[in-house]
Amino acid sequence: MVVAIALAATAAGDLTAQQTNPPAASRNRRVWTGTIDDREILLNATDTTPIRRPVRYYQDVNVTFRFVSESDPDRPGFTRWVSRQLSWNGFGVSSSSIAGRECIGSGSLDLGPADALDATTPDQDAELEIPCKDWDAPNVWSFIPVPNPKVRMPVIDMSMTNCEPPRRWSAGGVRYTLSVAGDSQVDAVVELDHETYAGYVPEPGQPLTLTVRSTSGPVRFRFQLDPANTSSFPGYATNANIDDVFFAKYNLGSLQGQYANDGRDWIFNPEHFGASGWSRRDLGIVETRTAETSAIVPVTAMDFGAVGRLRILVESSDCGGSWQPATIRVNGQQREWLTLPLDEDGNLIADALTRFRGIDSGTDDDAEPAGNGMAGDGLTAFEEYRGFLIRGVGCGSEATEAIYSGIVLSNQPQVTGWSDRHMRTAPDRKDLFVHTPDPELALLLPAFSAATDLAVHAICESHYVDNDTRTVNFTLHRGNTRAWQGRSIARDRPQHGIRLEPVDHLGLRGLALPVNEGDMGPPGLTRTVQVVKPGPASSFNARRGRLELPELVHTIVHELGHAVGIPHHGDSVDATRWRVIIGRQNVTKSLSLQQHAGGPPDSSQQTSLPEMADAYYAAVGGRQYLNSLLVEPGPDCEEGAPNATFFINGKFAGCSADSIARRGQQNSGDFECPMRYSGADYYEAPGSVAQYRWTALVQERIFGSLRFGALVDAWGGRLLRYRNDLDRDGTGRFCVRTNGTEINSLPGDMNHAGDAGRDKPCIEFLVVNDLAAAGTP
Amino acid sequence: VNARRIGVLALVAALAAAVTIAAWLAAHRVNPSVAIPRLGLTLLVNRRANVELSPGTPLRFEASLVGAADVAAFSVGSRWKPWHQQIRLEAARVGETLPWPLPQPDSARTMEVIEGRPRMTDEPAAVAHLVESRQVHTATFASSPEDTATLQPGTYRIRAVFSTPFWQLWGWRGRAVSGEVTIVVVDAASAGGTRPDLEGERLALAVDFYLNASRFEEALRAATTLTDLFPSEARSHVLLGDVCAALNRREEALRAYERAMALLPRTYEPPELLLARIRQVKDDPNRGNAGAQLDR
Repeated sequence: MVVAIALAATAAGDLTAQQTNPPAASRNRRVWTGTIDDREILLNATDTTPIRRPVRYYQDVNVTFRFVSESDPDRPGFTRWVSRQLSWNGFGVSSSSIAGRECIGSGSLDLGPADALDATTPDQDAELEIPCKDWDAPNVWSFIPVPNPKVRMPVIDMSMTNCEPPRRWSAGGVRYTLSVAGDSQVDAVVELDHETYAGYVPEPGQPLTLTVRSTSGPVRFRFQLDPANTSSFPGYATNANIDDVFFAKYNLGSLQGQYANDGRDWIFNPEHFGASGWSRRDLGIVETRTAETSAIVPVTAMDFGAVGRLRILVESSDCGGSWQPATIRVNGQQREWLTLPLDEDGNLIADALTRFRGIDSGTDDDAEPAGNGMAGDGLTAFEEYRGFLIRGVGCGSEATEAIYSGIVLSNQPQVTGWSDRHMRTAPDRKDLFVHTPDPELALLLPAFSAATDLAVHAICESHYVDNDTRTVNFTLHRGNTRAWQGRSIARDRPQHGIRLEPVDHLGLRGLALPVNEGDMGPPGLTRTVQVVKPGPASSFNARRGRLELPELVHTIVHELGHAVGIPHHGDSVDATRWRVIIGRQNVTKSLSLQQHAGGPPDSSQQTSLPEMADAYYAAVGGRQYLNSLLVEPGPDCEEGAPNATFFINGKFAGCSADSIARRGQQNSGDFECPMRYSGADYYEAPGSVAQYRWTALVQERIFGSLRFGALVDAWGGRLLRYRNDLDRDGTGRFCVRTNGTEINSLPGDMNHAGDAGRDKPCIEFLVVNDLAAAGTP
Repeated sequence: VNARRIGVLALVAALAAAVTIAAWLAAHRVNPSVAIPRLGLTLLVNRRANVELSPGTPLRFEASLVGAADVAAFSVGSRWKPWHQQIRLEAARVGETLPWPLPQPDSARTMEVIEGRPRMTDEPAAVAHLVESRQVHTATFASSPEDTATLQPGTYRIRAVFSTPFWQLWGWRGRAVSGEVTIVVVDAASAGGTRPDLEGERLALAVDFYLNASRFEEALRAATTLTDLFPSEARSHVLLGDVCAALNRREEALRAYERAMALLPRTYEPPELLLARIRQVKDDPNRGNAGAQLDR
């Protein structure tokens, strides 16, 4: 990077006049520099419609100026302006859900000589406007407060004396700074290689190296990080605190023990500043030891979201050797300081990442996938930019030492967590974070991404605090840092990840366990997702109902689906309370006693009966549970069939079944949807409904003999044998329509379960943003 | 004369080979620009990084080889020494000895995702390919209840080590060491029986271990003890059913499974695997999908 510092003894464009006019000193030429920060935020603004839609309103115009004044030789006692240079960048937004205005612009302009400070031409006025664009949704209208950002002119107090400390004040919500110096002192202009500066994105340990050059002789330089405007965000990424890995991985070992979790996010790394060249070597200030014509200064980021302000000062002989600020020129614009990194739109995000350009730091409006229509994933644009640590090759027990062909891998620190990767996520795609300790389950997570279009990231336990907390943006939330420099950077509530754990002995393929029974919604409402993993291969494991890999993949996708608010086909979710609304449900032997009325299971009824003396399966806790469903004899239940096992007084009474698939319930809808159940024993014929008949102890043909004592619930109606040979687990995406396909769209009686019995497909339940459940206890 | 010529030629050939090998080794040793494939070795015990248990709890270690996401393809292992035989367990702290013999790998498997489709092989090839992070090669090691029965209360730290044999001069050559897993052994009995959870875990894992080892009588003893101590836990009866089914005591198996059905907490998902077991025991040829899955 090349930065040139030019010592300007005269104002630009004034060389000819200098030859005939009196010397500059006799004309009392003075150089005025300063800034204007015009910022406006409206809280709780709404539009004018009866709905009173919330309106997000913000505008900020930053101006730097360099004005040169001198005594007017034609009018003694008066001052005239020989140069008036302005640079600015402005941003403004006001938007509701149906209308908005966005303004963005930057520029620089020399207003030229004038008698009055603020004299402008109409063309100059037009150039000083920040351009705006309005938009509205079609066919609707409303009034919203609109920003009208403008470049303000400086306020200059002519009574200020040279070398006086810079003044700072506020008036009418606008913040001003002002410095003045005589033109005989060093009036430094620093120029930057814009390309290098603009391409820099903060990464811990990676310095931004500036080369400063004086073209008019040696000077001493001071580089100073403005403490009030340099961030100290807790941790170094959205989900990472400073730890041993940080120092080892980012080659910052010399700072271990000196640098704290909430240390400044930009520093001058002492390793880069030798005592021979630098007289002052603080983390926040460095000074060259001797007067030099150039200096190279590396500024080191300590945070992936580091924001800062660098001031460059040069030693001035004019004001008794004091340090005077140098003016910095970036891409033709002059500034009083250098923002670190380059951030023209002032959103705290490096402009080098174009996908974040113009997005406010507090925005959380990721649109894809649309899901239930709620934008966002609970993470602000700034948090997504600052990025996340995600799982590398392992979690906590990954390789910590490696030697390859005799070479100790120097890029592989021998600390746990060396392989964690940092990732900045996209502000327009919803992100979901899943922790599993198991490398095999982690390998299968992309299947959930493929089924939902979510960006799914595998993380380690420490990346969301722990399995109980599960907060993926914990650094800012735990530090109670919601805003910085007036800009929102974190939302009101933390966002949660999902825990995915392998288990044995569950009896189920998998389960999404809610925090509170009956909850279903965004990830914060699910305590853990458990799946049974294939165990060691053995004939006995095969007999014990271990899952094969395809079932495992399906189970992971299905259960993670519940963890983002997707219920079974036939069920729905009350999105005001985030409670699952159960449909009629398939008839099963677990639920049958609550399903006699035909509607959804009646929880006022027990799932068991009082103990029965003749039952041959012992009661549990004095209660007798159903041994089976009994399907009445019919075309698909005839005596002699393999499942024709129930008799009463020796006469055939019905067939055994564990489940009867009901129309529009769990087995219904899109065949390939992972949320659809596959397999059953019977199904309701199209146009018919399973009818409860009776409950009794019956004889069962079991193990080759007929025995009395099986407790069954008998069901009738047009019940047809389920064609399991035509069915399998859905391996596609979550359904986008409720229509039945494949076995659920076959003609006539072959149609197994029909369309999903609710008004929305699975994908329209998907919700990732934990703010959706903000009101849920 | 011929013998002398042959001898000289053999000597020259041997010297040339030695020089070539030495040069190759030196080049790889000193040249830091050589592409370094990074190998991740992860170790879990009983599916976790840290476990707390009582003496007699069997241990199942799973050591997984994973490639780093940003690294090109490479492979480890050979037909002479398959990759899973190059992994061993050892005490994580230098000089520390463990009071029970650490096991050798007893099985291995490979899970990989090829063109978006996952695949698992229970009898993997001798050579483990690592393409970015698309494969997980896992070797399992089991310590029996007898091995761990004499463990004294305390904390034991174990790590896995992958190292290529000294004679291997090709492919990925080197050594990788996993992070450590921590095993905290608690003497549940001396703690006044205040940790019944550890006893339940010990018995459940023991049943699993004995079933996998086809030691059915011991499995039955452990399962019976488990149901005696934890009669209201569905897990106890599922495992007892599994043992009875393995012993072909179908009626007892069925009774145990039915009891487990009654005890299983009501959840949003059906107890599909338990229903599959019941169907298996009843041997209903027209069973549903869950049962059919077991035939594969």
